[in-house]
Amino acid sequence: VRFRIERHASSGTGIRVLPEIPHLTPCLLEGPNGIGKTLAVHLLEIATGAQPFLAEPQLWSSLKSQLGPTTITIDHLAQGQTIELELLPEQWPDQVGEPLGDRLGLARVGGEEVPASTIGDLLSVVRIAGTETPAETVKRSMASTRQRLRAAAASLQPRVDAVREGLGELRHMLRDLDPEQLVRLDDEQERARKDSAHAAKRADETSRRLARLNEALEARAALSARSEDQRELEARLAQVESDLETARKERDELAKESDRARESLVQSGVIAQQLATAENTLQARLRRLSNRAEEASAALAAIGDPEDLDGELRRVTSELAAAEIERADLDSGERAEQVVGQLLASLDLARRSGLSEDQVLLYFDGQPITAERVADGLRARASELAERPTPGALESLLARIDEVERQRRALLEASERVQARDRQKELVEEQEAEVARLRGEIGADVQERLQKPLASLAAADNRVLSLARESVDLRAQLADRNLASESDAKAAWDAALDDLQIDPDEIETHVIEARSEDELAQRDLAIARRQLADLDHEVRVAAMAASRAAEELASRPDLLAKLGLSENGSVGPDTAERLASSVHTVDRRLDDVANTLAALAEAADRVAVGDHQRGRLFAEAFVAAAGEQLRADLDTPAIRTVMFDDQPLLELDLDERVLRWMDAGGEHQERPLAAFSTGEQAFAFTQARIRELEPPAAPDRLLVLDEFGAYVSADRMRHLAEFLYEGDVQAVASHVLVILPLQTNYAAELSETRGDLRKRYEDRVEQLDARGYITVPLREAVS
Amino acid sequence: VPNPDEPIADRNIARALEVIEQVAVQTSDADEKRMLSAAGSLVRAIATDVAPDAVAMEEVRRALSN
Repeated sequence: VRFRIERHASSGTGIRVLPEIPHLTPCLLEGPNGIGKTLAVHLLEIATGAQPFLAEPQLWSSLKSQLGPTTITIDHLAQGQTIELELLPEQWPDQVGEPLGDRLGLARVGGEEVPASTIGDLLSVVRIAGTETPAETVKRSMASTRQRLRAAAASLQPRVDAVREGLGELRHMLRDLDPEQLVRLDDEQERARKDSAHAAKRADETSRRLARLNEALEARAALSARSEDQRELEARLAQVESDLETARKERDELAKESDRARESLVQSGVIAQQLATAENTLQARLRRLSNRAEEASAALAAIGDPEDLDGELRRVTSELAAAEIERADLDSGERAEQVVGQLLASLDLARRSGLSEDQVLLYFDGQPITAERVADGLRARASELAERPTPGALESLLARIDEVERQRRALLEASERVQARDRQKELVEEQEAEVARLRGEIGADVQERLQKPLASLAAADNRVLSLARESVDLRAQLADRNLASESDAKAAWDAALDDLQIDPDEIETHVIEARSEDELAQRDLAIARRQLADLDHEVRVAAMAASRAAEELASRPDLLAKLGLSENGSVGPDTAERLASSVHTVDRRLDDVANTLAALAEAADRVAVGDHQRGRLFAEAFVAAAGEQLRADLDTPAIRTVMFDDQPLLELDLDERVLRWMDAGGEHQERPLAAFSTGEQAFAFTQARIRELEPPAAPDRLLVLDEFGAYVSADRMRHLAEFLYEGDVQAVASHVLVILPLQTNYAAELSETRGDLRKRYEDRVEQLDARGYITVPLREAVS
Repeated sequence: VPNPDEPIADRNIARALEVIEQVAVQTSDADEKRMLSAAGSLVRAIATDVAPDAVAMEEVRRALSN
């Protein structure tokens, strides 16, 4: 295969690239430093889809900016095609890991335009640096991994953003539900509950400690003050009990006196009772007298209040008697008239028979009444009777008699009333005399003798009661003091000290501290409870937001169907909260994609530079994974043969940067990666790596062994050449290029050479003069 | 729904997935393992041609079911 690299006139000048690699294999390319040997190989790698700058992003930037339009022409391919590739560095990505794809440039195969990314289907380029030791392999591999991870993150980011945008509608519906807040609220509520419980417990403890300290103080105070205090109490009790005894005696005396007085009182009570009865009687009599007087007054008023009732009564009686006589007269007039007639007739007869006129017929008041006079009187009467009143006069008389009789009855009634009143008055007077008498019997001294002892007894009772009460109180206090007796107080003091574990001399300090701690604890408790209440409020507010979001979600069955929520019935606040939490989870996972890739890239970078910092995200696992990956890469039959006694590589420890295997004898072997840096081991390692190359997928493969100068000076070129001519190498690479630094000053040594060597040197000098480097068949170089 | 067997064309993403899986095997930290597992499946989902909206809904649905 021949490679020609043509930079156009306008290309930058900061970098140089070999213009051609001839159609020779294996080919040895020799040239001084700085002519672009390695860069030419890298361009071929890039052209065939590889990215040799993954471990050196700054070189990539430099290449992109300084290379300029460049055309690579490749011919003598196995299938006879010619590839023309016009590189367009200005289209290349800035990030070294970002795929080039068709941005590589414009490609034609056999004159037909093809996508630039398909060049790798026809040709691959493998560059192996002769100086690459296992340690450098690790570094290159890790740097490459780092770049790929960063490039992956960069290419994923737009798609991550698009997915995030896909959550926009859902996020809008759940805008008032902050899942972080919900989680925070849950966490904080739980924490606040714990804090509150803790604060309550702490406050309880500080309170108890303070109380215990105060008890200790009291015990100590009781110990110091007990004796004096008790003496005072006992003295006071003795005094009180003495006073009580005296008071009791006085009270007993007064009680006796009062008994006596009471007896007198009892006696006085009989008289008093009699007096009361008498007074009651008197009162009753007075009431009756009042009644009688009223009745008498009414009766007298009814008859005109005569001044002389008796005289009036007598007058009316007489008048009535006269009227009665008159009426009797009137009633007996007729009979009297008969009698008088009969008498007169008898007298007339008798006088005619001889009775003298002077004959005394009767005596009247001692005076002799003669027949004549009787006859005169009878005649007078007869005459009178003859003239007696008429029936009208009688009726008038009867009416008068009725009137007088009424008057008389009225007078009699009045008289009876007056007599009744007077009798009642007498009874009242009599009772008043009795009352006066009884009152006189009771007397004031008896009252006085009763009152005084009773009053004194009451006072004495009060005093005894007061003293007895004081005595009881004092005895109770003394009982308390006895409970807190010296031994008890000492025990309490010792127990408190043992419990509190404090220096007794510092108890005041502890009390002050405990009081301060208790105040703080109580304040903390109040704060904790207030915080809990605040959080409860926030939770309620969040619950309201969840309800609103649930209502909004319920109106979007299409969205719910996408989320698989339509078959679960109604959408409640819980669902809204779960959904918000899920959106938040997805957000976090999207963040985690970038974070994970960044953390892995960071870990790869640290492994690449040998800085293994533990504790970083993924750091330890990444070191283990990378170690295992590299171990597997190195644990090939060829590498085992040349490096590990033909035994499996057990471990590549990137922490220790050592390789571990077990040799054929069963002995554990361990060797630092750096130990493979020079000499036969490094050469063997390179050979092994070449042998382990997989056969190429593309028809052609260019294998470049770069930076192999160390082998020349060690006279290993022959061995290398022999190796490269082996069938194993031919199987994995159709073309081999060995690049060496310029080995000698051929022009200077031309005069020292003869024959074929001189010819070869002349040819090399010509090549150097013509293009600055030499290309010859490898075999020629080692012959 | 992304197909887990679908090859990832982007070599960088394919390598990233490979690293994620290798590190997930090595870590004994449950949080790291969970984060790597979630990131791996999400990277695979995002790297496929499934529409971002569909990926978003599917991820929410998965998060809901968990």
